[in-house]
Amino acid sequence: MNIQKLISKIKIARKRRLINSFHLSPKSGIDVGDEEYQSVLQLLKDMFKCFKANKCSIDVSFYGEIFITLAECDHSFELSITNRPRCIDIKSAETHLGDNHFIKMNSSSFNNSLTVSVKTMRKKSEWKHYRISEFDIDGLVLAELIIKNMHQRVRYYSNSDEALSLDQQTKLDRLAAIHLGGAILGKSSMLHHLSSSLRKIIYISKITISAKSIIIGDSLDRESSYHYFGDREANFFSQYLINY
Amino acid sequence: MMLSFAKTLKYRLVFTYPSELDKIMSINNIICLEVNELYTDKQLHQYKTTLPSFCFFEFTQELQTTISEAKELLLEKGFHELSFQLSAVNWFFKLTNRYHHDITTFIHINEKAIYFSGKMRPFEIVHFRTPEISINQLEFNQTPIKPIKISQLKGPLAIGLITKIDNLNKQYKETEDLYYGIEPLINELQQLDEQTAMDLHLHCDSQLDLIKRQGNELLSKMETLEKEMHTLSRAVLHKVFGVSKGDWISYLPAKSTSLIQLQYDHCDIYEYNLTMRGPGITKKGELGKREQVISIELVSET
Repeated sequence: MNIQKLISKIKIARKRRLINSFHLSPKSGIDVGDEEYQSVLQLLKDMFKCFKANKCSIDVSFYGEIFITLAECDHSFELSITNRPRCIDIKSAETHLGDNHFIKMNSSSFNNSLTVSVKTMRKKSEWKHYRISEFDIDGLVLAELIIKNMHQRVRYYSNSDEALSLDQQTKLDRLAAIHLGGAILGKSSMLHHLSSSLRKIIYISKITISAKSIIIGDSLDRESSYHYFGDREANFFSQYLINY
Repeated sequence: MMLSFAKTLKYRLVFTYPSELDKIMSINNIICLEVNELYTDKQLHQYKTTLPSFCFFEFTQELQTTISEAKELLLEKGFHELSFQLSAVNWFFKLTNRYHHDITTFIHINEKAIYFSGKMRPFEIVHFRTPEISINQLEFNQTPIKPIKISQLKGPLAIGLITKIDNLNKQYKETEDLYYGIEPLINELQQLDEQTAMDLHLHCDSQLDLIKRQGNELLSKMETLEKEMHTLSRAVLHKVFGVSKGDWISYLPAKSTSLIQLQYDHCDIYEYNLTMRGPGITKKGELGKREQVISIELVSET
């Protein structure tokens, strides 16, 4: 897929990322403010060029997640661009906040800086962050460094990665879609009532969303409840739910 | 020429540096606040993803000016609280380990404190807020104690305000005299009304009714005058002494050696005596439990 198509896929996916607000494991990707969005896309374009030049394959999911697969070895990583404070500072803020309602902090640590983060597609892997300002907003240099670091890391991997499951619907996706639908469509929609009734259930074993109904399986999986919906809800799901 | 310039520069650097440094130290403050959810029962909430973990904002000179301007407006218009949209606030989510942008933030400013609230699409009303943070705590690490000096009442602004209070006081007294003049009659008539079998109170234009109505009118006029005097006395405190709610103040009464220190919470005025009340400040420099009172006589020396 050419770079322009990937970028437009990211742009289209941006409005679907609203589901992240109700998702228990939010999707990675690009989450920046409107004023920074265009410059971030430009940066991403440069990075994609570099990845392509290094023969990496790039995938963009329905929700705008970005996956890069290294050329020679079969290892992939997720890429995300957001504004983050430093993790260490957040931890210290949390411990200091304790009983107080507020704390005063040193200004240097919480600057709202744009960060490119990467994480390999492996269990328990952690995000590695690169501050864009340290690279003079040069996507090519940054992408080269990321590839170099990834290659170094990959050398220590003995087993293969988790399978790259692009565009697969999960239970959490369906649950988030129900809650978002309830919030967007309002009280006139059955999703609103279903969303508030699901609030009371601690564990849901199974959710199936078919063309006209939602089937919720309870914790023991013995009883299932059926909830039928109309065209408005079906339209909503086709917009926000992957593979619907 | 160059040398003299350099000397002046050095002189300036030496003398401006500490205050500039202080300024920078006080400006570059990042404040971290906890976030509380609104309108939900706390047991189980599935929307936990839509709730930020922390709120960060920088206390800049600009924000300080905005707050003081808002405080002026509060006093001028008699508002309780002002709130408007503000973008310079970052909401951090632990779940995603980042700042979220799609949040509409409002700042709320009252006389004593500020707080922030926010909403995320698709919510249409604010659904989370931070606790209140006192403006004094925000501006200073150690709240300064402002001394109240009677000599400040000699300024033209103070004299103007005091003259206004003076006029209102006279009006109040006149109204009060009128009211107390007819009060015994109202009471007598009321007693008579209760005891007699005649329908004294039934006609709306009867003498009893007219007198009662006048009594009520006088009472409400007295209340309005009292309110105006209260607003003016708050204006005296704010514009003449530079004191607003939550400020720490000290006062040394004439003919006394003990200094009174308190956190100004509310004030009232009776005749020419302006009384400020609030919890006292202990010797350790902390807020005590006992209420302290500062009383000033407002006399225009014209």
